[in-house]
Amino acid sequence: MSVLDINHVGKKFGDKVVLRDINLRLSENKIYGVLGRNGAGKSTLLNIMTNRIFPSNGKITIDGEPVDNNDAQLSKMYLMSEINLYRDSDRLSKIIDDTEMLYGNIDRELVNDLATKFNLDLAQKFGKLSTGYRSIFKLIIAMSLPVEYVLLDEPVLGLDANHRELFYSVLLESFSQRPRTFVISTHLIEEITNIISDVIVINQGEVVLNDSVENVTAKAVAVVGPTSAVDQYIMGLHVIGHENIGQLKASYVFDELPDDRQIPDTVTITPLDLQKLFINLTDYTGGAKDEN
Amino acid sequence: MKTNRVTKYLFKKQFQYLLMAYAIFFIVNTVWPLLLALGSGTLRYYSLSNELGNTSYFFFVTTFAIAYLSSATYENYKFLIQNGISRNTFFRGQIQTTGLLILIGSLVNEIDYWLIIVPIKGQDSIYTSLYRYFISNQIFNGLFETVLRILTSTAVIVSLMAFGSILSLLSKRAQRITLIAIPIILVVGAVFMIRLFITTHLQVTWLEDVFTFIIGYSKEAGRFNPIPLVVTEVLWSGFMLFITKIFFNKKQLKRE
Repeated sequence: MSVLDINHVGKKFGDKVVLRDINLRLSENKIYGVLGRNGAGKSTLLNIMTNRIFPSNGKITIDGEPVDNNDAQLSKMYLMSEINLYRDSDRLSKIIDDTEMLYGNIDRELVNDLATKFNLDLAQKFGKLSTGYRSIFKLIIAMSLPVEYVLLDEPVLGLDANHRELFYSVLLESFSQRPRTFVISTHLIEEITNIISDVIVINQGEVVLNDSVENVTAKAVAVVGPTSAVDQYIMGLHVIGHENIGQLKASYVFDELPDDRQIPDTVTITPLDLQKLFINLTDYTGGAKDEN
Repeated sequence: MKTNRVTKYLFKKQFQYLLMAYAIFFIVNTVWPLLLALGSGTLRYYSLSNELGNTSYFFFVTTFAIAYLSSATYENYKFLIQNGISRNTFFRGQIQTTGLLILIGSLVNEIDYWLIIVPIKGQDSIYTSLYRYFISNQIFNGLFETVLRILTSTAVIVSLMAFGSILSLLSKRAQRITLIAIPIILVVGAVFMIRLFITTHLQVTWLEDVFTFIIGYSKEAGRFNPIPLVVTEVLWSGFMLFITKIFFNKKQLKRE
C-alpha cells in the first residue's frame, strides 16, 4: 500500500509564512479535494510535494523514501498546474513523445481517445492553445501517465461547462478502470463534491480540516430557528459561523450532535453542503453575518 | 537509466541548435560576402579560400554556442521537473550532453583547422606561436595542440555553465541587471586598475608570476611549457563543474 506523507512542512517566502507545519498522509486509491481560499498555500504545497520548490522545513516521503532529488519517487507523481512548464514552440505530439520517454510509458490509446473527445488537434503548438485547451492538454497527459499520484491544481481553469462535465466523467471512468490517488485543488467546490472521497481544507497556511467527505458532511449542519432556541441547542458545540435573518438565527455547527439533547420544535436542522462549510471554516471575519 | 533518457532528450534539442549556429555562421561568413560581392559587382575580388581561411572563428562559434546551450538551463529544468526528473539527474544528463557536444564541436573545429585553415594559411595558432618547440615530433605536436584547444574550449564552456547555473536562480529582472552590471563593473574596474598602475607605478609581480606560471614560461630557458596550462585548465574545469553542481541543486520554480 503506497502512502505519501507530508511531515511538518512549512514554507516562507521572505518574511511571509505561506505554510505552517503541515502534516498529512495521502493514502492510495482515494480522490482528495484540497480546498482553500486564494493565497491559502494550496499550490505551494503541491509544488513542494513534487519537489519543484523547496520547503523551508519538513519533508515529503512516498513509502518512507524522501522525494527530494529522487527520480524513483518523483516518477510516481504528475502535477498538472496552472503555470505552464512546456515550451510554447513545441508541438503537442512532441511533448507527448518526450513525456513518454522520460516517464517510460504513456497510454497512447487513451491520449488519442481523449484528444478526440475534447476535440484537440495534437499537431498544434502548445503556445497556440487557449487557456482552456492548455488545461485540457495537461489533463490528457495527467490521465494517461502510469503514475500513482495525479495532482491537479485548478484542473478546469478556462474550461467551459461542457468540457468540465466531460473532464469529471473522464476522471471517474479513469479512476474506476485504474484506481490511483488523485489530489484535486480547486475553487469549484460544488462541482467536485460528488467526486472526492476526502477533503482537506487549508486556511492561512494551516490544515483546518482533513477527513472523509462522508464524515465531514455528517458533522456539518445548519441549526435554524429563533435566536434563544438556537443558542440553547448549540451550547457547547463547535459553531463555525452564524447568520441572523430578521428574528431567526442560523448557526453553522461542525460537530457531532448530542443524541441526548432534544431538538426544540421551533428549530430545524439541515445538512450543510461542502461549499457552505468551506466558506464558514475559512471566513476571516469569524463567520458572523447579519441580514436585517 | 533516467540519466540516459535525459541525455537523449537534451542532446536531440541542443545538437539541433548547434547545427543551426554552424549554419548561421557559415552563411554570415561565406555566403553573405559572396552575395555582397555579386550585388556590388566585385565578384572578381571574392575568394572562397580567403573566406574559408577565416573560419578559425569556428572555434569561438563552437565554444560559445555550446556554452550558451549548456548554461541556459531554466527552460529545460521546467520541462524535466514536470516529468519527474530530479535536479541531480538533470545535472548528469546536461554534463553528458555538453561532453558529447564538445566532442562533436571539437571534431568540427579540428577538421576545419587541419583540413581547411592549415592548407590555406599554414599552422598558425596561439599554440604554435607559444609552444611549437615543446615537442619536436610534428604529429605529437599537432595532437597536443588539439588536446589543448579542446581543454581551453571545455574550460570556457564549464565556466559559463557555472555562471549560467547561478544566473538561472535569479528572477528575470535580476538577471538583466546582472548581465548589464557585470561588464560595466569589469570595464570600470580595469580602467581604475590601469590608471592606478600608471599613476603609482605599482608593481604587481605576483600577478605576473601567476600568469607566467600558468602559460608555462620559463625565464631561464626562455621557452614555454604547455603542461602547467593543461593542468590549470583541467583543475579549473573540475572546480567550475563543482560550482555548477551546487547551483543546479538549488534550482526551483521561480514565482513568475
